[in-house]
Amino acid sequence: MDSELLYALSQSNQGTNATWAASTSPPTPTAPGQLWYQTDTNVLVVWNGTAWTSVYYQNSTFKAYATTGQSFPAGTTKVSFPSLAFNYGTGTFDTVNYRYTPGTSGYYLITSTVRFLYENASAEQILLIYKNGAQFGYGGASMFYNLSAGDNLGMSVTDIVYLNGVTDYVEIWFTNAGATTSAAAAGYQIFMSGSLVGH
Amino acid sequence: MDAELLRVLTQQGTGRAYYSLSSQAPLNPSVGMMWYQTDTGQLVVWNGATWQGFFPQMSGASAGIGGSGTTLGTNSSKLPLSTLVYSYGLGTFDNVTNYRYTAGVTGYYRVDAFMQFQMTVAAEAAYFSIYKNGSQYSTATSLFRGQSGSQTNSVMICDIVHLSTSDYIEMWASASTASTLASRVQFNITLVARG
Repeated sequence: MDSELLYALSQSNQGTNATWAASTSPPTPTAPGQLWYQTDTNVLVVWNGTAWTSVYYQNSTFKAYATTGQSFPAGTTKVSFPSLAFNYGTGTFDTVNYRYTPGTSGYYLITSTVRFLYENASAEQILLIYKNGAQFGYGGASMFYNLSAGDNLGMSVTDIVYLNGVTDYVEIWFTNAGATTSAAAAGYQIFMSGSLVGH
Repeated sequence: MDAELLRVLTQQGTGRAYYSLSSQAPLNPSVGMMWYQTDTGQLVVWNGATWQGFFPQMSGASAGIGGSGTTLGTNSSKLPLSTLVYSYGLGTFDNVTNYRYTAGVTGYYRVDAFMQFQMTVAAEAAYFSIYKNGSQYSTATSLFRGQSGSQTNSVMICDIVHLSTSDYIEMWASASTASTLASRVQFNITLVARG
């Protein structure tokens, strides 16, 4: 948001004045660059000519989660996150295609955790971040040996992905080298979250 | 710094605040003067004695478990994060009584936590959870089988949580076998967005 503030400041002549108000209700804006310190919420906002926008961090962030069980057959399957816990900022989370498309370019910290039932003998499972439909990095990989069918397992993956803020999107995929594996239904055990960490 | 900013603004009393846009600190600043450091991208305000950061810092904290660890039960219990590494910004971390981070500003917080545990039997699961205001928020699971007891394994969890002022976060854990030792726990939280 520094750039927004810089813009706001530059609207006035450097070295002179920027108008401000400290109150609970917004003042009548007079010009871009006017500052308003909202005293009841302790938030400083700036009039950009159209709306009051925060000068603080507006790092887009989101969290989506599963609400029903899902299965992962042999191969690679997209993980479903049909419910949205929150989506703050300029990005969009598609609860049909289970993907996050940010509206601002930058570096995003993406993480996901999936709990699933082990149903394969010595088969590899991998939790992957996909960018634009293709595997990004290697993700979280686990090869579980000596387990029993029905054992509950968990995998997590975390990585930083650059997204262009226009067309780039991220998804979570599950690779299973063995027979069909099922995942838990509880949202607190299957989720995907992320946030902008840098421009 | 919000309070400082409010103080500065209200001291002006004229409805206007002075600012400067340069890489060099303005000379002879008056209280409330703002300076956008063009070389660092930082906005600071003169409080009468020094230039102070205008934006509230990235509130956050880091804490761990002290001593030789803590014993987990089969029912989830709170981890005593008694060793405070740091706490900065507007939130507080209680490492004495309640072992929780309480947000000082409404926003979205990222939590990263890690737990190392000592297996007591050859097959053992550990459950590592983020609790928000006393309720389970997200959980990571780790299970190992076919290893001998006393081996060390670990589980980690990363997630984003929305916290209003006074909401709090704790770390809870359990294991499939009682008396499992959680020998090391590290908890980190940081504000990623206000809103």
